[in-house]
Amino acid sequence: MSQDYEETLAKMQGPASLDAGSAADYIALMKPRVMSLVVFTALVGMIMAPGGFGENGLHPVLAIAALALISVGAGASAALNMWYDADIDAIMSRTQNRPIPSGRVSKASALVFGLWVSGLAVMGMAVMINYLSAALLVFTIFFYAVIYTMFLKRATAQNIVIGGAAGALPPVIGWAAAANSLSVEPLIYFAIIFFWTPPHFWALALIKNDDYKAAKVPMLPVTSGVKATLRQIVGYSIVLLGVTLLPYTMGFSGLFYAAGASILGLIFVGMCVLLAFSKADQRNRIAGMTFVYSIFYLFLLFVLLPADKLVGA
Amino acid sequence: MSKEPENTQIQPPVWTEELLRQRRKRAAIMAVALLAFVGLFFLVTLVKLGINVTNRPL
Repeated sequence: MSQDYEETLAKMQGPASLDAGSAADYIALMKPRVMSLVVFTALVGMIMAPGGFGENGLHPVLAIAALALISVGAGASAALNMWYDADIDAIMSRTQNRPIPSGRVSKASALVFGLWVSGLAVMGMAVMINYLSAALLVFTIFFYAVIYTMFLKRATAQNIVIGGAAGALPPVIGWAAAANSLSVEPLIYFAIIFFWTPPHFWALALIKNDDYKAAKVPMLPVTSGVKATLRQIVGYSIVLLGVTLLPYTMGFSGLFYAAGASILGLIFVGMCVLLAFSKADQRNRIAGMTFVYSIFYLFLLFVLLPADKLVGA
Repeated sequence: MSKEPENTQIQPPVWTEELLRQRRKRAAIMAVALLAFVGLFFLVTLVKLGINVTNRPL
């Protein structure tokens, strides 16, 4: 008897598996905390688009529909990410309590859920909003679930640098949903999140370095060491400061935004420098503070953009 | 010829009370989500048609 036949037989003789996942587990599959930042940045993209929510802009019902579909699409790509990464999630302390590694949702169910919800979100976007935003949404889901999760994440230390493009697209989708076109402004919002992602993620990777080593994920601290990562974090934070000032230098935003972005950016650069020069026993604590501040920083930058529009109006 | 296995029947899954309760809850939430999706489609249709909703022969 062949080995395959023995295995099949063993599976047949055991009880068929049942999915014991609760609704909360399926919501957890969609990474709701990441979804909230996606919704927020997409909303800012919509507000900043020509017309915004004004008379010639997007109807509030359509805006709510677009935001719901963008968030659901982002959630579906997260479910696909968890489906593919279940093996490494089970190894890392930060992720081992996720629905699949903890056994509450089966891999097959997560895959089916992710594919169905992705399809509904993209089709809904195409029918209810416009084809451009639907195309951008499908590209975002594909880039995150396939390019980042299946190829980049386990292959290169530049995984989150290139993969950051997926997280940077929501304000572009929001803009496209409202304007049905693209221009330089949404690409600058894209660049802000794109250059924000590496220092944000590497601060976390420094804290969870042992986890990534155990799971053999080639994050920068694993492949190039802590010192090289700290240099990169400082470098990216300085580039990010310059990129966040582009809306002002290109004339899209006013002094109110420029002043706020400068202060917030200088604080971030300062924290990254502090992290780079920190002693080994203090590093994790400062990396944690830098990580938390980076979320606060991005949130406030995207508050400043529409606030500046209000102030300038 | 190799010996045939004695038990090749698939054993049915065991639905415990807890699993059934979770399945009912999942189904209820799925129903709500689908209804919300239908409602959204309806509202978007009204918004897109605008005043033309009432512009039809009676």
